[in-house]
Amino acid sequence: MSRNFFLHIHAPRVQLAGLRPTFTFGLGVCAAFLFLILLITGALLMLYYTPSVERAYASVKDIIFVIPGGRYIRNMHRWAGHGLVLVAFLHLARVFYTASYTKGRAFNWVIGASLLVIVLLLSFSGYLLPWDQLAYWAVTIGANIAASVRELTDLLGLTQIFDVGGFTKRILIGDETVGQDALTRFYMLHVVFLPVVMIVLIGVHFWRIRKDGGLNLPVRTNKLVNNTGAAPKIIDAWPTALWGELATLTLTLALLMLVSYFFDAPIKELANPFAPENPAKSPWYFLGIQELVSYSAFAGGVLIPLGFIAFIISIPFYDTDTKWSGLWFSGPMGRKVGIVSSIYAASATLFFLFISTKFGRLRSLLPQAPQFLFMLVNPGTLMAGSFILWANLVRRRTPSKRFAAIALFTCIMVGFIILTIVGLAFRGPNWQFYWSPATWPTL
Amino acid sequence: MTEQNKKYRLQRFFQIITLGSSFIILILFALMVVAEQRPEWKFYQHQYRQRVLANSASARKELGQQDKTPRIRQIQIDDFSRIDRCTTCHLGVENPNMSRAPLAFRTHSGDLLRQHPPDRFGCTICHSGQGRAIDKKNAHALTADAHWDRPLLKGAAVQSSCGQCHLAIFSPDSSFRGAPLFQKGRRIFAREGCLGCHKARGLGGSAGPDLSEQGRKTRHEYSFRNVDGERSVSNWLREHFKDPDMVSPGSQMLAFDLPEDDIDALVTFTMGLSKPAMPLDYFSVATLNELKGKRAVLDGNTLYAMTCSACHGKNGEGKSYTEYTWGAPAIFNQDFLSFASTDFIASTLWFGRAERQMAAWTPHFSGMKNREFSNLADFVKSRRNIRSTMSAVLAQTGDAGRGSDIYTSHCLMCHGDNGSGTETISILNPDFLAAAADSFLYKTIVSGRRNTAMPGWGRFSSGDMADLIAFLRRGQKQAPIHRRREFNPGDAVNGEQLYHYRCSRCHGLHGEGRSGPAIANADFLAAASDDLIHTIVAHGRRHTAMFGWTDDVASAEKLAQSQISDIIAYLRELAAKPSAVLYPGPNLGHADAGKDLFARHCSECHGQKGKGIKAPALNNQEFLNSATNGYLLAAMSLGRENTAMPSWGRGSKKNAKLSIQERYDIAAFIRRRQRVVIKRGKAASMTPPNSAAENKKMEQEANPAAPLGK
Repeated sequence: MSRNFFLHIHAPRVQLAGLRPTFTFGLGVCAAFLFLILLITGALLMLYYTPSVERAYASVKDIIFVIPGGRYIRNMHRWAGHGLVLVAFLHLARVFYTASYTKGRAFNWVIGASLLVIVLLLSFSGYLLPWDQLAYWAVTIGANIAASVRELTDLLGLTQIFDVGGFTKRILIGDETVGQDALTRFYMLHVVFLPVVMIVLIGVHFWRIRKDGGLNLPVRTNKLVNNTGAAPKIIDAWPTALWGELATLTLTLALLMLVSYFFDAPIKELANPFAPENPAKSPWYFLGIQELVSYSAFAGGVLIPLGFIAFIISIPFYDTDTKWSGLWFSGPMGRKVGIVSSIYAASATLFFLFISTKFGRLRSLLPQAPQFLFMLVNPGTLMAGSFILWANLVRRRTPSKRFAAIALFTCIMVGFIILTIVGLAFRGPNWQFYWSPATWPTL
Repeated sequence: MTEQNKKYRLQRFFQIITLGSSFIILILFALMVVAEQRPEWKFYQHQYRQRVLANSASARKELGQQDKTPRIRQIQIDDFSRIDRCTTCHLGVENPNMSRAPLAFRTHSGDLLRQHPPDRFGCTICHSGQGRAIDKKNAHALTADAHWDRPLLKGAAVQSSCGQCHLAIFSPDSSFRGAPLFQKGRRIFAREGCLGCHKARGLGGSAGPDLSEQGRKTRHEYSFRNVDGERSVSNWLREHFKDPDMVSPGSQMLAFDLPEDDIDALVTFTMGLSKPAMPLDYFSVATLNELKGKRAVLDGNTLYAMTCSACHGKNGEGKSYTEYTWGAPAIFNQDFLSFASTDFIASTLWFGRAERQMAAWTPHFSGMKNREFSNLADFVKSRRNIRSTMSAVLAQTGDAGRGSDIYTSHCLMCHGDNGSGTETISILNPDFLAAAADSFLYKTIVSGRRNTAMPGWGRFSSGDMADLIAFLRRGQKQAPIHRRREFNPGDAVNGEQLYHYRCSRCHGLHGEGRSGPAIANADFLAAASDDLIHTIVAHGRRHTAMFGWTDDVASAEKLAQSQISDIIAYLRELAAKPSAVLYPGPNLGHADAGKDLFARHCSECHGQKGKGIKAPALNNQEFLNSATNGYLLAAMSLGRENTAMPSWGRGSKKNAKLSIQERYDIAAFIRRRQRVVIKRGKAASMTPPNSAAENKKMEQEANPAAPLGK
């Protein structure tokens, strides 16, 4: 099997049109290379890092201060980790907008979605390892998001019988608070379990690309290239495709080194369980969720993220239309839907943000109302609801389910980006809204 | 465009990107290598080498011993889990020739390095800062972006580190040399009464946070919302000392009116209170003992300054009830001290005052030692001024006329017009005067009787005393001489039975007084000789209920001389033994009558319900359990000089004069508020029977040649 697998992972012949940089932007390859860089730098960091509460922080400091090149290796690992999350999201968007999940590619799409989740988990588990204030409180928030099912079970009175949220949290960090158990778990997840799963899934992902007939190119494009309407132009992978891959690798590495040379990876004070950071912010890719959690723990921390994952996975089974497959935005109509959807999503998101910032929480207006109401009616669920309504509207006005999918996906992405930016730049102490960190009050 | 063309154009595009990126990679890699090769510390090591070479002729040799190739130097101290790389740049700390070099290379000051070898202690244990870092910004960590919890201690602030291992707060003789700023802070700490609210090393109140923990906190654990200037622990403490309520709104901490220097010293001291994480053999023995909770018993003076002075004042002047929402009584007030017994003081210390600022200082809560209660109570009581001596009084003949004036202004309010004493002891009783020697009268007047209404009259000069005694004896032909009859020692067990059958009905079950005076009273027994008691018991007192137990009764009722000795033995034993509760003693008043009087005269300051508005709360169970009826009566009668409490026995323009009966009524009304009787338990054994010793001293002063026997 090994001979079979490794010898056949890369296609010997590829479609010429698929090599066009503006079609894939090389995002998948870029993600794979980032992962490779992460594996190498991570293995180097493991030589000096000690996963114990007493020594983790000091060992990271030693890596920064005295290990030759340690600072740059750590910087590269850190920025590559963030980069991988970013590139994985972009890759997801690219594959979605070119409808490359059709024609038997549903399985690989699901694998890809799983890889995205694993990337997030990998990045999050690595976040704790430096054991500084940033790590400690970000992971504390993450663990509490994991426990946010409690809001529902509390309302239903089930927490005493089976505390699902608490159970999930305990599985994740092994204790009620982040401590040595959490560090050991996160270390094992970060360096053994998740990378192995990741490597296997990447292998399957690559293999399926070839198995599914290579990149999903639109029929029309081939016609444009080859006016005869004959079979698409196939060329040898060597040397053109390999040059393309090498270009992606070097470009990725160059950008990464540029960032790593000029910007040091953050490290704050030693983790101090008695001095919470305020504001304590989770890693940037969870800030959208943290923003939602600030409205309602259950709706924002469980309902909406799970709904999102369910939506992503279900796309290829919902939209089986192959007419525009492989075409960016499925042509002009899709592009129009996408643009209008993003304008709509941006205004809806900003509207609900404005309402909640300007008039405060609904809870303060209706102090007597039951908690259930706030769990179901809050800016997060209202945003999600408005997106779904919009997608339904698009579904009725357009000939294909494809456009409804584009509408919903675009809305979610735009909403997610806006919430992330708000969480990153406009949330200050006690999660209050501030135009800039310069206006934060002193604590 | 042919396909072949398209393919080559793509390929060319990829090749250009690869080439360009590779070029950037190479440049960046080179930059990284250069940056790694030219760190800040190499520059310092080069400078140091130049300096050594320029310094002396033998420098080359000297340098030969030094390592010539640049390298990171580090001291690894496993005991502290620390690695200090400070000597990577500060190369001259152990080089004696560098005493005049710039600070970075200068020899370490003093002989501190000899006592603290760097290979055993490192640098950051004293100086703080980030030992692992090898660039100045991160190593000194003075800026916030260095993200290090313990920045370098600059200047004299480093003295706070001395305290971490050497400080023993409670044994001043173990103080270490040097660290003048820290030592100054420690003196201020001991003087300002910080331990009244804060604990340190196991002793102190619980109103504020434990100071032992403060030095260990990082700046993130403080709120800088109301602090100007830099966000450091020292700055926070400094601002907090200046204005606690401003820095921490709602803080009950008292503001210190200290000069800037003193505040700096106090900050340094406070930061040095923390205990660093290191093996115990690094600590001084005195410190170690304190950390274990073992410390010497402190004397009353030290304890007062450390724990009481913040509220009650350095001179016991107290805090005004009108200025503060909570007041603190002036406990060095001479009127207060004249009637507050050590029982009262120790009981107040032990139980505190519920709902008031005064905490219960039981050892369990405060870490105070049993012995220290009596030390402290003694100390407070010893603030009483006594302006007469027994020898001087006995040596002079008084002027009865002046004595009469003194009697009228000070004694009349209780003892009545002609000393007939319907409600109190009739001191002009001829039988009494015939039996009581001048020394007895003097001792009774100067010491008073603890827990009764009779205060100690320390304010009278020797002349006043002599005049007063002359007034008492004005009708007598001659004063009785102090006879010294010898009696066989009595049997206390037998005495107990006799006391209960013959005496307790009038003198109280515990000798605390009932219709008769309190006779199991340490002050009385210390003043009265066996001879005097024998005389009174045997012959009684005319015009009182006390009849002569040998003269006035017949047959079986009659007490033999040996039986009287038994009773005396029992009384002395009873008085020496601490009682389970502080018995309030006799009260002849009526609470219902007292209610109106209280409303009319007392409620303005003490509050309608006695909870205290501008004056101490009287409706307080701890107070009522500490104060006897005698205390209440004396407090009312005398008032307190220089406070808002007037003398109700004398009266004045502002306040009415209350008769002795009215005062009894008010006392009865106050007493009615008592809901519980608190057993004194261990608190009782804290009360020192000091007056016996005091008396002995007095006697010896009066008769140095022949000390009096029992």
